Amino acid sequence: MHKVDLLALEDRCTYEEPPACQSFCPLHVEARTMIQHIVAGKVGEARKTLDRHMPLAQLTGWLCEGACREHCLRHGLDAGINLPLLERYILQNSRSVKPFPMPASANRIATVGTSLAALVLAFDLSRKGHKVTLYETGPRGGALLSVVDRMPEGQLEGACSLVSGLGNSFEEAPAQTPDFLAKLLDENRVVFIDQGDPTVNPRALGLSPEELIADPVTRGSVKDRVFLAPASEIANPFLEAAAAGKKTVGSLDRLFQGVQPGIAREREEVFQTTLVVDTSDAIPIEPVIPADPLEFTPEEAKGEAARCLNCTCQICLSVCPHLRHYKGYPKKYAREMYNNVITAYGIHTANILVLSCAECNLCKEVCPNQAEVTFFVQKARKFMVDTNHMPAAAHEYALEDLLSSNAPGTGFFRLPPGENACQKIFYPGCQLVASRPQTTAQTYEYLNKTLKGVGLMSGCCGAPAKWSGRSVLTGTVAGEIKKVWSENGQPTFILACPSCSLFFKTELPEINTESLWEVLAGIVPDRPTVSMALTLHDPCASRYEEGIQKGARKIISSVAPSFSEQKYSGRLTKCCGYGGLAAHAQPELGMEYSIDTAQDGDAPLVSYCIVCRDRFKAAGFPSLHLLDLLFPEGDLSELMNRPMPNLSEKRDRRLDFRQQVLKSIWQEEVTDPPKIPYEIVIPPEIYELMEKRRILKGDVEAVIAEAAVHGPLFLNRNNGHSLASLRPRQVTFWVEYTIDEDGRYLVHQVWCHRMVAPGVPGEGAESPATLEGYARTGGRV
Amino acid sequence: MDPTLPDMDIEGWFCQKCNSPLTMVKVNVTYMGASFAVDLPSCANCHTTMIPDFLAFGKMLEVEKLLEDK
Repeated sequence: MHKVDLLALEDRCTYEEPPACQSFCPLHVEARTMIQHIVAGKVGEARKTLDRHMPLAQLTGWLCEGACREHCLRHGLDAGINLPLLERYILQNSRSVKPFPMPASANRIATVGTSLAALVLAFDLSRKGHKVTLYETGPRGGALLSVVDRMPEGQLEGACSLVSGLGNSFEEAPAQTPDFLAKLLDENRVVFIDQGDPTVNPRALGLSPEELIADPVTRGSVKDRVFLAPASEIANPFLEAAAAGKKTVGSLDRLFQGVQPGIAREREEVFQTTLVVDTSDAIPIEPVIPADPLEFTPEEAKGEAARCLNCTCQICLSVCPHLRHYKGYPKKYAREMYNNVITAYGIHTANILVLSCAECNLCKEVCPNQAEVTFFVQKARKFMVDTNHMPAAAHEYALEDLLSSNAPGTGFFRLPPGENACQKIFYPGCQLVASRPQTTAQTYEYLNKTLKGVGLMSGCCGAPAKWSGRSVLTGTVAGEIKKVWSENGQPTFILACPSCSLFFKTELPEINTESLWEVLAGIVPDRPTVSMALTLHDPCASRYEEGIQKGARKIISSVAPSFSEQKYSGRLTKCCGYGGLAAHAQPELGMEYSIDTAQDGDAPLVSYCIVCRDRFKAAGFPSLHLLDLLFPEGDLSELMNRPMPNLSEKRDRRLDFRQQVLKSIWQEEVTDPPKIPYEIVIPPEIYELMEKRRILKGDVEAVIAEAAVHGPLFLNRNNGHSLASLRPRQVTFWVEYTIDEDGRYLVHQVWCHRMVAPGVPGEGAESPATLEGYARTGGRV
Repeated sequence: MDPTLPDMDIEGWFCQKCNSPLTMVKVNVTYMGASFAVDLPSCANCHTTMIPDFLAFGKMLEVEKLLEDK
């Protein structure tokens, strides 16, 4: 995890970029915020926002000509927001906060001329404790006198009084001569020539044409200690003049602190923002025409403000429940995640932010700048594991499931029946076997019959280890697959699961693979047997796999030709929430993902990832797996509504799958795993609770097996219940039960904890996490 | 962890081995290197300790999560 990773993501996310109204405003007024305050009826807050960016707003605000309007994204749609009138509305309906007096500085500044730039300069500098003498070369206010009709009566005089009230002074200038300028430079640190004042004569002051060219950002002349306001003939004279005053203040701030005036002055001029706003859903709204052309009523102001599109880049947030859930955006998340992982000591509050990303890459695909959260999250997780900061509970359960899938007795490889070599290996993946064991077996038999020489390997590829950031475990699991591959003549793997395909591509690139969907697309006959409306879902792991997507479409169209597509499909498909083990780390958010994805489409969904299918059903959306259309285990309406198997059922079915196919396809003598010699009855509500608490049926069996030998730890005199516990790994399980007259164990309650308490059997001391060791024991106690 | 937990519902429970009632005893529970003293029901004779359901999925789980994020 390096800072460069943070910067890469920060640079690409433009969420914090200003909207065009702000970037094209010479003063960079935060109009978006200001307008939202008006919408909310908070005119005082709007005034604070205006005052923050617009110096001497009580004067400048009346002179804004709305340079932003032609850049407003409403401009092409109906008309740009009428900001000049909104600013006037704010000024008339609020009061500015009186500046807080600052300690006086010894710096003295003089202006020649008293037009807007000079007044803004004096106003801003005096708020920082500096004193300005404004030399009047003509009537006070300069060019402003020609526009007093644009503001309420007495506004200019009031602004001049405010400026002098802050400790500045107006003085009548003597004749404008080089000696006068020399005297000013002698008495002051800086002299500001306000060329916007028509009575100022810079040439008379002895300034050459070269000396009258100001640096556009610092406003500094080549003549030392002289700064310049622009002459008034430019397009937007008053806001440019105010900006010149403001920029000069920025230069003087630096100068007085011994810093070059040109340092860190990016984006002070108007600029093209890189903020991307999706206006495709924006509806045209006619601009509000005020009854009095010079003034908005409160209702008119609110109406006009309500037209604001409130431009922000919401593109990734609109498609990702994870990015929406934590009320931020990628740039902010990147900083939080980076700070979180590099913090050695302290609370890692952003752990959950790192762990609940589905690593599906949709954000990158929709982002105009391809800001990639997935890559960052993967690095963060790996760093957390490497520095021993990965919370054990987040992924342990999924990793144990991985290891149990590959444990002897569950995972297996067989050459094709009766053969001693194979060309291909069908690898259905751990989840398909657990959810559709019969369909998996039928698919294998079809492949072997049609293609010949196809072996079968059942297990987990290691994707959960990679998602969890565990590179050692990832390598170990991938290594086991590679061993089978190299010992059997390097056959091609036929992969049913898109996540396996992605995993093989990155972790086992030397193995030649084919997707089951591409293979079947080439061999299944057209047999349009399904007339019901169906909607195809592309699993997120197939995002970049056009071949797999095409194969799936060929298959579904051969069976159900009238299928439809989701709005978000192909490269833009959404995740079901299982990707990146998001649903393991944050089950509630995992369900948000499932619902968000499943509700895209009118008809029952068909996915070619069984986890997606099962999760959509768990979220309340009847769904099918693509293989259900080819090799159904039952009636389609039953399959569509079949619940997602729980964690214990998945493990049992993987075991059963092995037993069944070895017996029926390979005709092997298979010894069934030893059965516990008593019956355990777990009521459905306790089973449901166990699923939530991530307690397996096997865990309960282990506790009862222990109690059956050694007796329970505690008995309850009131209700006759027994209580037993066992700590088979990093978790202690407790089972409260009774034994009925038939010798059956009736389970009344089950709970567990990770904390260790001396006195609880098996809890002598905390032992280190031993996931790899757990693998060696065969996955179960 | 708050050492003064609410009254636990341990009524009726006794140690199967010693046939002794349970009494509240201060026990040091540990997790991820951190240690806390908590009152837990233990056998008055052999000190076998019980961790009740509401504690395991209440305060104890909260503290486990806090420590995992530490």
